[in-house]
Order: sequence, then structure tokens, then C-alpha cells
Amino acid sequence: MLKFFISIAIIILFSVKNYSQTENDSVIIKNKYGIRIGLDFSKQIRMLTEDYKGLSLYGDVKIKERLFIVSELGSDEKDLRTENLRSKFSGNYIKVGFNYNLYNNLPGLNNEIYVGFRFATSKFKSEILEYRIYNKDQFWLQDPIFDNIINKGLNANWVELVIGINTELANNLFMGLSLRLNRMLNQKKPENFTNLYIPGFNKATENNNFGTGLTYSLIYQIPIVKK
Amino acid sequence: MNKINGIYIALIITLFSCEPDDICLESYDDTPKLIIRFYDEITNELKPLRNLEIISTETQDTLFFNEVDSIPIPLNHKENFTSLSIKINSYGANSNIDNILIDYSRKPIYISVGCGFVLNFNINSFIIEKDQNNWIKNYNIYKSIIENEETRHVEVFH
Repeated sequence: MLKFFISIAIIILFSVKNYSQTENDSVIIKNKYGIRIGLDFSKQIRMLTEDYKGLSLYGDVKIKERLFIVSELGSDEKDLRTENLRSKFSGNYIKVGFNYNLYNNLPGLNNEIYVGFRFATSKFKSEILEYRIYNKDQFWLQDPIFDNIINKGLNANWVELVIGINTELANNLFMGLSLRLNRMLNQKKPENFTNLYIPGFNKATENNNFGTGLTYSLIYQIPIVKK
Repeated sequence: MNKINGIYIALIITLFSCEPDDICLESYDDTPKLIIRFYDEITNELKPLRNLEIISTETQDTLFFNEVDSIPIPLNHKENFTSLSIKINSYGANSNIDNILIDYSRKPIYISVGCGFVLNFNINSFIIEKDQNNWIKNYNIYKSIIENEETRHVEVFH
């Protein structure tokens, strides 16, 4: 260790202006670079409370001190029920973008408070399982009609603004929480129905292009590159 | 510290964003009814009927009208036909019942999450059962597609 400090001192002595004090600090502290992979547990929590199935995988790569390239892959299946309509939406999605870490870590720590941006695309199908015919007066019995109408080949593209935190719980293990504001760019709606739910986007409402999302992830860093 | 406060504020805004309308608003038009208008068999002018009863042969449910020159008939949305008895002058000695059968195809039209679907119909045939003394002398399908209640669909001559 003493040797190390001596050699640092020698470097400082022999280097001129080009090296600032902070960069010397970063020589001592190993900054972790590498691929991180994770799972969004918010979906598993939702599966306990809703008519819902889903899985979402997370991956990121740190390409600069504060910048991460992020990709998320997932699949959703959601049953929606209202008094007069029961429908199911299922499909897959991919989100690609970046996170920018705003947090100034103490030396040696790897926490993040970040803002991010994603471009997302989803392919899905919808099924109408059951519906009632809307009549204000009820001369005929208003029991539901079971008529399986399937709309395949639907898609949607949107962007997401993300804010979130990632905290290192243990060595190479992170816990993350993020909130998203989604803005629909375009979507393919079926004839005579609409997209009430879009995998990855969440609930879609008519006459409103915005949606929201939340993730709760456990992320593991595969320690490949260390600089 | 300011950054963390910012995140909390954004979190609160996100969580309180609005839910879509899952309830059915009254402002939506419901399933259109078959509109029948009554005309004089000779002069072809509007001719009202008195004390009219419409009885579903299936459920025996009844609609009653005092004095009308047109009636809205709800069509059965679970079948491709509706079978009805139309009784005129219900309380008088000269009451008369004619049985009719309306044969149609149905097309569901999506309205909203809350309301579900309405049906549009396309009338294939309008059949009057022959009896000793039919009060319905003739009929004409004026508009076979039932999309709204703005106009008559069937003209009945008596």
C-alpha cells in the first residue's frame, strides 16, 4: 500500500497541470462498470392483487460516469372488467433508452438518483370475452353476451420519462424504484373496439395520450469491467 | 436534498393522476329501437292509433301507448328475431290483436368501457300473421338499417 502511495506521489510529481486532484482520487477508487441485469418485482406484486400476469427483465450498461444505456423487455396479460364489458389484453414489449445519474456519490458508493428516457414499442392482442348491450330501458333481459372477439396484430409506440433511484444494498446487488410518465406516439386500434390496456404502457384511456408506470426492481451487477 | 424533494413531488403527481371513466354516462345513445309509423291505408296520411299495447310473445312484457302515430319497439338483442303482439283499442269492444315477427341481423358497435356495446340492426323481413281480421292492412320497410331513432323504419297501414 505504501508503494502505491509512493508511486501516486511520483506520478503527481512528474505530471504537470493535466491531472487535477479529483482525477487522482478516482485512480484510488475502483469505479464499477459492467452489465447489470434485474427483475421488476412490481409485476409479481400486482399478480397477487389483480387479474394480471407479467414479467419484466431489466438490463443496463454504464457507458460514462453518469450515463447508462438501458433496455427493458417484458410481457403483460391483463383482464379488465367493468359492469358492461370484460376484455383481456396480452402481448410483449421492449423499451430502450438511457438513465442519467444526478446523484453525487461519496467516493466508493454506487447509488443513483436518475432521470431517464425510453422509447417503447409493444405488440399485443385483445380479446372481448363478454359484454352487455347498452339499453336505457330494459324491456329485454340484460344478461351478458359471451362472444369471443379476438383482435390480433395490434401495436403501439410511446416514449417514457423516468425518474428513479437505485441503491446498492450489498456488493453488486441493487434495489431500484422508478416512476414513469408515458406519452403515446401512435397505436393501432382494432375496428369496433379500442385499446384499453397496452402491455408495457399500462392502462390506456380514450382522449388522453398519457399514462403512468411504476417499477420496483432488484438488479444484479455482473462484474466484468472494472476501470 | 432538493433533488429528493423533487422526486417526492413528481411521485405524488404521478400517483394522483386521473382514472378513466369506467361508469356509463347517460349522454351516450343506447341501442336504437325500431320505429313504426302508422298511416291510413287509403289516404296514406298519418293516422294515430289509440290504446295500443305491445306484448312480447316470449316474455309477455307489455308496453302501453295512449294515442300515438309512431311507436319505438325494442328489439330482442339475444335473438335474430322479435315476435310481438300488437293490440289496438285495448279497452274497447273492437280490440284487435295482430301478431308480427321481425327478422333481422345484429351488429355490435363499441361505445365505451363503461357502456359496453350497442347493437345496430338490419331488417330482413317484417311478417304479419294472417288471422280472421287483421287491423294491419299493409306495411312498407322504409329503412332497413336501424342505426338511430331519427327516422321511421317501418310504415304500417291500417
